[in-house]
Amino acid sequence: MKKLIGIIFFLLSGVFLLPVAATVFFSFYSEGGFTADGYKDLLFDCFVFYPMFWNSVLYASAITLAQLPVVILCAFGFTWAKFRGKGILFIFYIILMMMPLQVTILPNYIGLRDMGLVNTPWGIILPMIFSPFGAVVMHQYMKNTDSSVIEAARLETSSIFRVILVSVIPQLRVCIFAVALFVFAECWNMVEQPMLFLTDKNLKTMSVFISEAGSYTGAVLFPSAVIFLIPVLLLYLFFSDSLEKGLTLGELS
Amino acid sequence: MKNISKKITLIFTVMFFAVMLFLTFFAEKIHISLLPQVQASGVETKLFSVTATDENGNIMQYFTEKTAISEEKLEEGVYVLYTAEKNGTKRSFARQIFPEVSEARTEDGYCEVISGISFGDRIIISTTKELFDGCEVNVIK
Repeated sequence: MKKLIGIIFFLLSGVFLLPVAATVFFSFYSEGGFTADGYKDLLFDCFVFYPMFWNSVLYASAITLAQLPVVILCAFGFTWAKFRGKGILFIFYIILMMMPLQVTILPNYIGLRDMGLVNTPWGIILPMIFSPFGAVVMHQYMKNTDSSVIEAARLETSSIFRVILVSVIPQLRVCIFAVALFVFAECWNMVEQPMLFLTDKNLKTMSVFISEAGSYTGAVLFPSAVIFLIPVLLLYLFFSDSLEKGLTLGELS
Repeated sequence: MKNISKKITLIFTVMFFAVMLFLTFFAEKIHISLLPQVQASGVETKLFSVTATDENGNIMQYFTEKTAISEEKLEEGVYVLYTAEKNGTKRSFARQIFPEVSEARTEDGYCEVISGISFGDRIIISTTKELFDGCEVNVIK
């Protein structure tokens, strides 16, 4: 029975890995056989690729680093603060988190247009900093933290920020890495927001480049897709332990 | 074992971003250095004699300046420079033209061009590598 389950999971993993394997394979394969011409065309003949690559790195890093403090403070408020309407407010957060992007993108665009942030990097970064996903996930983790540590910290100091810094964050370090990884991957993969909110090609991201790869000369689609998945893959490999622990932390408690 | 794999991942990450940073600044320079380096100049004009008859039937000969090309270049063709956008950036390319010439000749071996090249065109006069029709070039002068 265990062998059968192992075989099924092996086959399933093969199915999931097939698109990635095909992408890597076709990045080196053209009509003439195996060549690196696609990488040559992309890296030495398609210079608009580089600004877009670094824009992706910049936006994903900035959003992840800025979202974490917001998410931690928000989750702390939902977990430990006592105020009227907390439950209803949290339900709104969940509804907002579950809303498809197509529903919220137009109000987002109108808001950014009125603030004069369309076609600026802030038009991409700011809405994502206040995404409800991280707050909801972090709140679930925070519910399982040891309240006695927080009470002890509150006896030492009246500053909420110090309490969070000294007692909450050390307990949730693993979960913070897991949330950061999810947020980075979500921001790295976003394509609708750069497509709609940015008109200047120098501000667009790699996901937009890949979606428009057919308009460039040379076989640049598959090599750009391979380069696109490397940073997230490296980040996952580096933080895979934390991700595993972070995802199971709630269950153990 | 986990520490070693993390170290390898970190080294690979640093190398990846270092290579991308290097290519960001130097990829275009490397690309340009591998292109044929060409010098271009405007189309030459020469004085060609024109014979005409006036209203009284007198034959008049006068000289007029027309686009000209040397007889040597007729056989191998002329490479004309043009600018086009490729992959989001403006670049220079060479187009091979075999211009149509008249029978008129100057003393220094120039032919009058009837079609194929116009006055505003820039012709490649020297190159560091062999050119072909439609190849990308880097203009030095």
